[in-house]
Amino acid sequence: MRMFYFILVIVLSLNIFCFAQTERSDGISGVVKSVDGNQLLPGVNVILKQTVIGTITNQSGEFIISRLTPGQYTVVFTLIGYKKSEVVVDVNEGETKTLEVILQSAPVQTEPVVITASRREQSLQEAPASISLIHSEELSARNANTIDRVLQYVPGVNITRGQVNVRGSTGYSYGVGTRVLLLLDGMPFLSGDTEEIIWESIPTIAIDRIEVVKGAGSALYGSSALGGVINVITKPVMEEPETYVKVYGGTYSTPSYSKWEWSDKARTLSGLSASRLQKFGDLSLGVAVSRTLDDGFKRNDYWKRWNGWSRVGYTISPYQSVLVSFNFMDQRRGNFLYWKDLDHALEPKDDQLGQGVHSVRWNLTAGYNHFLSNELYYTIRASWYRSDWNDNVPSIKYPEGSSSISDNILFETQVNYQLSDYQYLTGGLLGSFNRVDALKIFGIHNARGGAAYIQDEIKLLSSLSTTIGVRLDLQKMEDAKTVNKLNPKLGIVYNPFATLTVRASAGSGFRAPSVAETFTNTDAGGLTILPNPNLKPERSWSYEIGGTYIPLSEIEINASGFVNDFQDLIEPTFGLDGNVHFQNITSAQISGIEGTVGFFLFDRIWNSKISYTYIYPEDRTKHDILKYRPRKLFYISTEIAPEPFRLGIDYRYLSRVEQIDQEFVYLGIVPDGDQRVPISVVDLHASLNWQFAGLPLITRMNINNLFQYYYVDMIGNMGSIRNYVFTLESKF
Amino acid sequence: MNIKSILYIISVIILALLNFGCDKGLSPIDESQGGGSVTKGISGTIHFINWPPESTLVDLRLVAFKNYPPGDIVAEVMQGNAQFTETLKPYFSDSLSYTLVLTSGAWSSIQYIVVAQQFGPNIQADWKMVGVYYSPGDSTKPGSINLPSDGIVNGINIKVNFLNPPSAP
Repeated sequence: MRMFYFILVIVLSLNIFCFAQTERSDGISGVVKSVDGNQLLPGVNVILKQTVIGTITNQSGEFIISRLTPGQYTVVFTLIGYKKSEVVVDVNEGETKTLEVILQSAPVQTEPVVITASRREQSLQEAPASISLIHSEELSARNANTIDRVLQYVPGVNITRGQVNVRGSTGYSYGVGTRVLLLLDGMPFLSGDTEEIIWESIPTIAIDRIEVVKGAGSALYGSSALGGVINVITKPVMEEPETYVKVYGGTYSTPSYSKWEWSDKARTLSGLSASRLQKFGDLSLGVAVSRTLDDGFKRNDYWKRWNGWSRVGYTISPYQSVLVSFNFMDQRRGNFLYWKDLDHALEPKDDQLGQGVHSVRWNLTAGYNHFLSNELYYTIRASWYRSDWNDNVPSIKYPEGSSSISDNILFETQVNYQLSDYQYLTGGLLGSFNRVDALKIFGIHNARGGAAYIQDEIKLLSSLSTTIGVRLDLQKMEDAKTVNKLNPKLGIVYNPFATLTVRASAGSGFRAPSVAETFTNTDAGGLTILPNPNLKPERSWSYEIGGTYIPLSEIEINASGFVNDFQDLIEPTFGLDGNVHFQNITSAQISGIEGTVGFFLFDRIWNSKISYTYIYPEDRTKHDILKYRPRKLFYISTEIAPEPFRLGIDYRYLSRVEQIDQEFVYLGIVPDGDQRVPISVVDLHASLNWQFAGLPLITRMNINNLFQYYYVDMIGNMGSIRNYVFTLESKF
Repeated sequence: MNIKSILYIISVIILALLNFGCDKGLSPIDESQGGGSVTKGISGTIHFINWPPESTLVDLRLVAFKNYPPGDIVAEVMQGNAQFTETLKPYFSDSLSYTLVLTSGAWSSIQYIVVAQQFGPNIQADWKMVGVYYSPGDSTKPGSINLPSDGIVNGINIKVNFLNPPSAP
């Protein structure tokens, strides 16, 4: 705890430096208002076109962009629900231009800007794919320590014991290999050994927004993007310094059944977080730290975690900038593999008691952006993700436990070139190096790869645009043959009316087998798992047709139909020798429909979203339903926010999983392992913003799993029981 | 959208939430079966002599088969034609009591009951039978049991001599 206060003092002391800075006056400042009643507009994106410079208006609708080189700039103002506005400003030496900008309400909701679908900024309406957006406020409202807490309400997305499914893509792969690619600020963010998403490593406190792109995305992003891409975008540093502090505490309910009670003590969860974002002239700094603790509602399922994040940016000129960011996690957690049995659903088998994992993971990223002209800019980036863990889970060969250190190093350069008002080219080159040092479980291995991609967006008519792209990936793991994969994509977006967008897309995806799947050599739970160096990459093709219709400014309707074909899916399988190997055995087709209706009522005071996804996950090898895929997902989120109050309810229903690994049940590895029900959970959040009393404070209350519904999110693993969390949050 | 429509939506949401609140999902076995459920199974005592070295005792379980002669133990279990007990422990005891509640599929009888030892790390291949249940007074062929519609059949006792295992059927 002393450590936390030490870091908090450092974070807050950045305030002091603020006063030591001498601001250059050349720049642009101003205020943004709505045309209706001159209401001041906070949260307006203010961007200098064709430069690396931008900011967001504060609570009073004000913005400042300083230290500009004299010259002419086009300032672009965008906000959801308002028409985009552009103002041309001449900035002279020693002069600050002051603007008063009036934004007009849009009869049709202005779409937010996204960057993941095409590796460049474009409006959501232009994107040739189904995209869902999550803003930082949604993470705060749900007190989400990890982003899977909020992803579980995204239409078509569900989480199975920490593994993310986009329209049933992943199922459950035992923590080795995800079929959804996670990006952190556009760079792949998967651990080097298991190629898995580590949610805890993502610096939640630093997140600005999350973009979820559904369907295969390997034509732009390479391996693992079979089912979709999740891009976590961290906060930019604004002209106005910002300090954020959050403290929360809560407790889990006592189980309803005395048989499930295993502790006399209250099971608590708590956390402290602080961040500071500030500019010092052309230098921008961001730092965040958090300490979170959770006793766990299940026995030996506790965790204690430190997260840290920092960012240093430097604006070399209006057309060039560099950015270096670092994030860090240190976590100790207990090991809960499966319950003892249904009568002891919150307790693991006795041999798991005392078992735990200590992991340290960090990520260093550096990037350089340069606008060569109004039409041409390029980015050079590199990242290094270190994952280091050790456990005390015994195997026959290594009774003391296992450990792994992996380094995933990536280099990337991307060029964006606007050939004309009707054509936009995006291309890039990548290189990767992956080293795994895990003698006791995966062995010591190296892998390297390279890729090249190009994408052409052509506006054929004012209402019709197409996107054609292709990416070639080469990957080589030690002495194995080089794997090369060519992944094309095609997208069409048609806007026959301002209120209707129709899109169609087709694209392929692939996933190279992880080191863990290829080289695991251990025994666990009575099973011996042996390497299979002959694994091939998984492949997929995704087809989607869908559209968005906005009949009124209060209603938005999205609908889509999709088919995803998968080949050579890798699954752990009993071999003829009786041992388990990962093998390419499954061909599958997942087809379905998805519909979402959003209501934005009473001047967006009451916002609701209802979504339904139906998938038919067919295992074409076994002529059966794929394992761990619920067929129906039904989510409702509704929030009423008359300032200063906010009250929201989230409901999610997932139909009962039809197929599981029945071997675990029959072999007695998981007693009562076939016990499962549909998931039907209600979460509630409420908050009060004390700004009306002059206090920069928000108090929040969360009740998760309000009705104490008991379900498993994986065989023998109970989903979270009811918990109450109280949060104090301040931004100043 | 008028106020009536909004009130209708609110009513639907409230009714839906109340409905969700009625179902509690999973519960312990007794509660889920309302206390009046059917429980089928066997119980008894296993007597051991001549225990082998601990290094060869990877696992030890009682297995009940629906059919005789059975196929491979693990294959039969995975097809739902046989069921394991938990590991019989502590090892090196003179005798151990067991209860096997039959849950996987419909059971009207048990044709073959054995004690099986896993002697190596291969869960599929490294098993051997070390004891068989015989009907009282008849050790010439394995005993079978007709299960009542409800209840545990007691007194299914087995002798295990690790140095003299029964021959496989």
